[in-house]
Amino acid sequence: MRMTKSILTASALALVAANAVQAQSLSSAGALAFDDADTLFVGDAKAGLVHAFDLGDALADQSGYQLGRAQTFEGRTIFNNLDVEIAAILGVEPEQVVINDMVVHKPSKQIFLSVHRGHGPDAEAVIVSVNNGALGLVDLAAADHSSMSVGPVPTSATLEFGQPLNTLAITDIDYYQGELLVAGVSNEEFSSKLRRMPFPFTDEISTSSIEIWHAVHAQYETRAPIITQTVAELDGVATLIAIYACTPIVRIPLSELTDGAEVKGTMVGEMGFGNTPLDIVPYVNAWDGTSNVVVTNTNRSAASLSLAGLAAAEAMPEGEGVQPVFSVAGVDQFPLPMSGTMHLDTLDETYAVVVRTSPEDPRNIQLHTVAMPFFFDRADHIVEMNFESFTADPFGHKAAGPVEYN
Amino acid sequence: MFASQTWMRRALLAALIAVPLPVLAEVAARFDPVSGAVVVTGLESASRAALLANPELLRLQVARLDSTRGMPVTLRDQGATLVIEPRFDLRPGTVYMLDLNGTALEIVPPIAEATVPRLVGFAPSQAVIPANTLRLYLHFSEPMARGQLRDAVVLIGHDGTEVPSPFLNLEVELWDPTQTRATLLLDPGRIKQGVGPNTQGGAPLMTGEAYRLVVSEAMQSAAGAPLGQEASVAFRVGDAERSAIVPDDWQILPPPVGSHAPVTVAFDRIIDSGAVLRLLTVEDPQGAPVRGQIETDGGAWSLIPNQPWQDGTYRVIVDPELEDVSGNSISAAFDAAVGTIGTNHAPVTLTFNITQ
Repeated sequence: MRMTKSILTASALALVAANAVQAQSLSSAGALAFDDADTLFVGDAKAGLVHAFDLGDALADQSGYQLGRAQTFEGRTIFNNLDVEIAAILGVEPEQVVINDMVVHKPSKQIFLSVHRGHGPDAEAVIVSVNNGALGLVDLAAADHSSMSVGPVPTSATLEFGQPLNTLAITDIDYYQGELLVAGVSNEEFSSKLRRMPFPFTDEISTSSIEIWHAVHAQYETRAPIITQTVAELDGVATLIAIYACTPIVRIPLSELTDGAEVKGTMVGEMGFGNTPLDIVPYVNAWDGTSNVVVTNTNRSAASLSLAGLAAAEAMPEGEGVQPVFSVAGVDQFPLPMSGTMHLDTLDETYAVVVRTSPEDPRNIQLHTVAMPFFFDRADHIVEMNFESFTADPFGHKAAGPVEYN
Repeated sequence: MFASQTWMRRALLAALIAVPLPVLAEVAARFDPVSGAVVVTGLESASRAALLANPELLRLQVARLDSTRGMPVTLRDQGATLVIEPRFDLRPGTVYMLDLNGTALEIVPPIAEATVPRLVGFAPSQAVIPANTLRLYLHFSEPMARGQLRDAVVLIGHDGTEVPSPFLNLEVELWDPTQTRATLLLDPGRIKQGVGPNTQGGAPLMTGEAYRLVVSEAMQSAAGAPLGQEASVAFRVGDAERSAIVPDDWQILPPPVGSHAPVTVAFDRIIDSGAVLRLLTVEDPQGAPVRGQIETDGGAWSLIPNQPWQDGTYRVIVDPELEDVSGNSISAAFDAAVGTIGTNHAPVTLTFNITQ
């Protein structure tokens, strides 16, 4: 026998066959996002789907709900022991409550959480909403629904050998001008595919996956999964800002991400090793009018990066003779006092909301607002300005008196 | 065990202590394992009517939770009983509290005997694995609970000490849909050449050394049963594999015509034993996929066909997504020289002939 090799003339385009499919219930509920209107996107890794639910009438205006007192650097604790409160609704012990993601519906300022009831393969997935300080389950059955496959699509051939084992853990979903960008980590491939699909979903094969490489600091280039990403305009150009599993920050003009393109992202920074990014969230600094992103991390506090800085950042050096970098490097990163943050989104131009462990008691999981642009809550910190005996009042909270919440 | 007499006594006691509803002394709540509902007996019809008219007077939640909220429930009057159907299944063994307008009753759905899980497999299963191994699989006999891997799995070096932070610290754990197989990624920052963690912390696996991957006896199944005893896997570490997969370097052992004997592909390296199940396929001389039973340990792959082999040329199709255990693919090595990565997105085809 003689072995021969031939290259198939199949399209170089890496397409994942995917049709808009109908499946109302959630098999799992992970990454969340909203479009510019009322559609909630839910990453369902177990089903290999992104769901779209038009919440429409289920949304409730929250403008009467006081979020804090930004002028004295005070946020509002919407809930202490959020896990316990959700456990009471779900009928499980608090340690069986898993809060996977949080998103804010910006027009109404309503907060939504994706939650699992339990840790097993049969864990029920629910969407919990916060409505003017009340917790409730979202009735997804009442919402118009569509979905799109993003995972490995099982074929008859793969199903023959039993349940497919491969899954894509969806780590981030972003909506930008009629398109969804979906990031994820496969359990069988170390893939750097970017999944890009139009919304509303179409019946055609429309999920394109694009390989993106990035140079590492020395003479090598490599691939890695994107963990979190956002699209922002840098110097007027719509640009994907992505953070990889081993924390390089990469910048790619959206126009380069065409079907089948072999794209190499420009690495403009490094978040530091031993750490994985959680979220990248855009915000405008109302004090100076600058546009920025805030990046939260598993093992480090958060950092703010200005879009101007990202636009102007030089590509990090690569090639022969370049010394490796193993700490924070590249584009300027402004540290923010947000340790213990598990989930973050912005509520409006003044406040962000976080799911976090309380600075005073790490067992207490809080849903808490923080005033921007510093993402800083006066009361969290042990500083003399907070002491009653200290007469100076730089935050102004002593003169203002205690906040009376509605 | 579900001690029915115990909870009946508790329920009676609770009912006697607080009786704001006009109830008889023997108000009792019972969990119906068939329907999953809670059945309350001993309530007078007026009390049932009051609860049906005003369901907020009733609260069902896990006992001793510091919350005023309760599970969403549907109420039904059935004969002389009040049937409470919770939106979510009550968990076996969890103590629930049913508050009927101040009357507290305890309910404990019977706990099922959970099978003790075992670690039944590990990949790569070879005695020697590459120093830059990227991906490990742990196979369990039972579905396992998420959220434990970071604490439950450690890598022990040749000197008996724990290797610090060998795994990629992802927020999400990587399981298959049944949660019987966990994927562990060794920190790519410590594997890739020229990256800080690699040059500073060193690779997690050193060539020539022996290691043990240890799974804690406390690691629990989804049903809450712990392993009970520590499980460990020993392996030695060989040279790093830093080249792209070249399928031409594999050997195909063709089977005899007319037989159901396996066709075997012997790899030149350890291929990912999970991905290869779906990314290596065989087509018959007519171009139809060959169905059958696949076996692989990552070192070789074999297919026992459902139909006997025909005379002719078969094709083995290698999907470009396929990786070896170090993350190298057909397209490129995992970490490649600048400008050399990503030149091939097409599948590679090998052929073998079966003749009389």
